[in-house]
Amino acid sequence: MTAESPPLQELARLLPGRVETDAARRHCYAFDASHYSRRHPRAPLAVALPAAVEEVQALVRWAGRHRVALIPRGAGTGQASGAVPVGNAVVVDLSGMNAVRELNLADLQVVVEPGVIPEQLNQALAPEGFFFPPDPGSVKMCTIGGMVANNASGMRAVKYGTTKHYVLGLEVVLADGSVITTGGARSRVLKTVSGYDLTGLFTGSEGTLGIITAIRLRVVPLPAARGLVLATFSDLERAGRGVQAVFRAGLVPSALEIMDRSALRAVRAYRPELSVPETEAVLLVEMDGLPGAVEEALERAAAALREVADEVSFSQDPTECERLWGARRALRSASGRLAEGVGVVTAGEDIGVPISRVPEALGGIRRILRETGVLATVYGHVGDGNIHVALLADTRDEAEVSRAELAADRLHLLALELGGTTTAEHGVGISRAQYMEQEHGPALAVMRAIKRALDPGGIMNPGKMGL
Amino acid sequence: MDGRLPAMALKCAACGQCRPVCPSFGASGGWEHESPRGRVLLSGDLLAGKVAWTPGAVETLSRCLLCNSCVAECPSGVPVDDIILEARAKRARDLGLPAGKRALGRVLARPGLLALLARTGAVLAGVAGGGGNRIRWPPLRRAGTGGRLVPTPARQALSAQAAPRGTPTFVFYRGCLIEHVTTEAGLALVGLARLAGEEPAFLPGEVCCGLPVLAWGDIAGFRRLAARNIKLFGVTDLPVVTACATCTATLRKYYVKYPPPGLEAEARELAGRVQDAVEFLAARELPAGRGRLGRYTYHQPCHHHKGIERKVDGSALLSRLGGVDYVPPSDPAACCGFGGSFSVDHYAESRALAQSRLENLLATGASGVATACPGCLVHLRDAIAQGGHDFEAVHVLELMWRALRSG
Repeated sequence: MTAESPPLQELARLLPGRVETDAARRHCYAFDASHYSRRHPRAPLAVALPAAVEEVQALVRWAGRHRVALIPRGAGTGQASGAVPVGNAVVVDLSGMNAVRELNLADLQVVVEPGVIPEQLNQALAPEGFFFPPDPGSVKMCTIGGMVANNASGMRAVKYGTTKHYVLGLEVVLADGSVITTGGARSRVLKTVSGYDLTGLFTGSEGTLGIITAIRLRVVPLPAARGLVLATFSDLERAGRGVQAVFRAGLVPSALEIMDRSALRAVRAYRPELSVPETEAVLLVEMDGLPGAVEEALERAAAALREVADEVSFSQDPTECERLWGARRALRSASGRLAEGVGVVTAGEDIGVPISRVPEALGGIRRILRETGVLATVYGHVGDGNIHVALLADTRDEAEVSRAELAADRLHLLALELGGTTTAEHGVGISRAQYMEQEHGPALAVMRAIKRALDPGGIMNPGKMGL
Repeated sequence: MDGRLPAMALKCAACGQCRPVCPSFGASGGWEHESPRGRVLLSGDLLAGKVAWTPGAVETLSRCLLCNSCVAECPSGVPVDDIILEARAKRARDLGLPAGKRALGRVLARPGLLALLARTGAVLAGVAGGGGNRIRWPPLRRAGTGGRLVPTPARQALSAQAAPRGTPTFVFYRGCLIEHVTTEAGLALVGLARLAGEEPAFLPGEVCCGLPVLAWGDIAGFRRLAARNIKLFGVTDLPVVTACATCTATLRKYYVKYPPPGLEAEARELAGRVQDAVEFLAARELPAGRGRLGRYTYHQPCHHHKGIERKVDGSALLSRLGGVDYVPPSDPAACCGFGGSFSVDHYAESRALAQSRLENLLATGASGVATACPGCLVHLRDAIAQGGHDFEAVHVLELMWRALRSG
């Protein structure tokens, strides 16, 4: 199908001025942040930039008529190839649908379009004393639609949970072009048990069941204070044991992060002014709440960590904390600064393990990196067992790339062996589709049945999630 | 071709952190190919020969302002500007340069011709209805393109307006706009420098810093301009002071990155000697201003703080002035949307960006905005005049000079 073919000309008429068929421009949509998409770039037939739900409906009906797949996409910050094309496909870029439809703080909720950037929502909420807690590393640039489609989370999940804990309802365009509202057609309640949990079904469905065009989100009061404990360790596995120590002290941290020696080097290269310590590993423990409570919690966390750590220090300066978190959030990208001529190979980057097995997992990761000879940074939301590994390679060197791919595969298998998951927050997409059978067993057949029921023509983001 | 380039693009982790900070992405409505990430991945594959030129690719690459907002933001340290410049150079090699740009490139290399054109422009503006009185503000007249208001060139070049008074202590590199258009800022620097006991030298034969030429991908043409300036300023070891953020960034950064062959060491030596007028004055004693000039905000030029090592902050000068109440804007880093040829090739987007920048500046409640780049200055003046606002855009040097002379 070319730009001159009748179906694409019809598409261009549906959204005048907002359908792109230029080959070089389409090429830009072959990528998300995954290694897979860099390795196997596939441009879509066209890209459409809808501005309203009616336009999304028109796109879906067009796709159904012409048997062309639709790939919903937010900011393309995904790391699992979820938003890149497979086969004959049109990318539906939803970043232009970015209105906040309702700021209903009396009912502790907001209604947003999928293209709203979470940090921008939080900037609008902060003066009112509220926030939307899930904070993936991409909080400055991803879209809330993408967060919902992937059930994204981040540092604060350890206390506040993941995106699904905030999704009250969704407006979804189904594969036949009809629109439904989940969570109650006119509802503004904070909880309901009426009917199947369709909101939960679409959340994390990676665009395989429908296209989300509006999201009703719960928001919560912004904590009055935040503070940070930083503990250093001369041994990575011992840092893993520090995680248990925090919980046993009766604390629920609002973030509990780990960075290994290489990750700390990458942060130093990226933000030298933060002067992060040179050691095997650090744990960063954030407490939030009322100022007095935060102070007491920090002291208790420090006392618990002193039992296992080398050194423990505090910060309650919001600017300093935020700068440290900013560097932490950008760590995957900053990892490329570790050496000349290498880039980040985003694969095997998102494993999750039971927190009791974090020390084992950290040891296993080190072993895999040593055996494959791959340079990497190790960091992550260790408080919920989610460990990120940023593999590094000169991606022009086939042998280096193969070693990184082998390391990624072994990381995934390590996670499954330890009773964990191949992806704790980034999603399956194409990158992890091969593990779905092993991870889910017969439950995958149920997922496939749901997919067939809602998308019999297979036009919604096909080729993803092993469906 | 430079073999390092695809490697620089490989550094891009495709995280997308550049998207929200890119002015032209913001103006595009959300297209990935209008984001720095899209342009970097596309440029990398164009340079590697994996993707062929299309009209869309040419257009997309032309929409980068080279403001370096993305470079300042990028966690991976991707030199987006270098990648764009190399891709534009490839475009120029593969597809040729438009005739207008070739002609302008020739003019910028000939200071005499540039001066002649500027004076002719000033006279024509006078004939057409009074570009003459340069003190009457704003010195803007409607030009042919899209209702854009462009400034009238000065009747006399700056170097002809300021007679030398003694032994020079620094070289004043004027650049095109300070020499021929916003000469008031240049006169202000001369006046302020003299109050601080310094005397400028105007070296005849200086040419355009070359950024416009580099920006449209004529690296050889850029190197020719750079070579002339490097040799010219090599005859002295005095500090070279500019009153233009873009000239400062070009002489310090791009002369070193794209040095003329055989002049690599000289380029580095000159870069070390270049000072922005803001830095030059910040390091010198000046009398306190007596006049009350009121509330002013400050527009930080991108070329003073994004993607460069030695950052310059002109708002510090404003705070130092006795007669000015400095009010910072809520968004201190936003680009005005000028971007040199970007504002010519894509005036509608450029104007929309200026409009949005101006709204943020107006929200401070100040009576005017100071800045330190004549490019930002003429662009903000356009937006002010288009919107009919009672608001002044002024070079920070001119404002300082006013504060010191009044009262």
